[in-house]
Amino acid sequence: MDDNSGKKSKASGSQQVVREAVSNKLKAYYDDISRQEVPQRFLDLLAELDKTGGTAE
Amino acid sequence: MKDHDFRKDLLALIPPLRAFAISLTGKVDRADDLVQETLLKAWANRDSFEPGTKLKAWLFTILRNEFYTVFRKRKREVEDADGMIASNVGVHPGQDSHMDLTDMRHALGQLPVDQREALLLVSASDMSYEEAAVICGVAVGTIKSRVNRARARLAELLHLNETSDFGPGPEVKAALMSKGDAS
Repeated sequence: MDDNSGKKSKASGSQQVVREAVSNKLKAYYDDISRQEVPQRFLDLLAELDKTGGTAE
Repeated sequence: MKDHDFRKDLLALIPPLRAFAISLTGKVDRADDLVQETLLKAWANRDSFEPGTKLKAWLFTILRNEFYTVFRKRKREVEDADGMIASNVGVHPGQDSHMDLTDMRHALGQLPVDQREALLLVSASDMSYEEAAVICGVAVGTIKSRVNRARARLAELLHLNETSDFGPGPEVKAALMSKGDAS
């Protein structure tokens, strides 16, 4: 009984660790993309929209 | 909202939009087309945006709808659309300086698309379960279970799952060790 409950809490504890490891990796991947410079095409697009009042489409 | 302010807000939200689009599609060029389409649609419909609500969630909703419009078109052309994304993502050793990041891109491509988007919204884009549910048009419970399944699958694909035959990966070992140190 004691062994089982001990095992169970240990298992969910390491599940938590796995979850955190997944989240951290995902965050690192995401942050890497987010830190990239905004491509010039979007800066041009927004500048164009602002000028024409939004009929670039 | 004044046009100029709206434009400034759009500009500030391009990095998170791109991160979502690139992670969703696995391809930078396709992702940037999605972002461009999203910005144009947002601008054209800027009068229907309610100030005070979250612009980020509104933009993500537009981008997601665009993605599925394209996705459904492609799905008609290619039966296994998830497989197509996975193979497009590909792994090009040596091309990416961070092998970890390539692994992650590849692993994300192997997740079913509904799980992938739920995970990206909640675990990476800082959306609440409730916001993600609104964006995806499903119940909060559905988002929760998709995120859980996505996390579990990702752990498997990245060998982070300590129940795998290979034992805990270095990240898990490191996390366990640092946990031990902290207590």
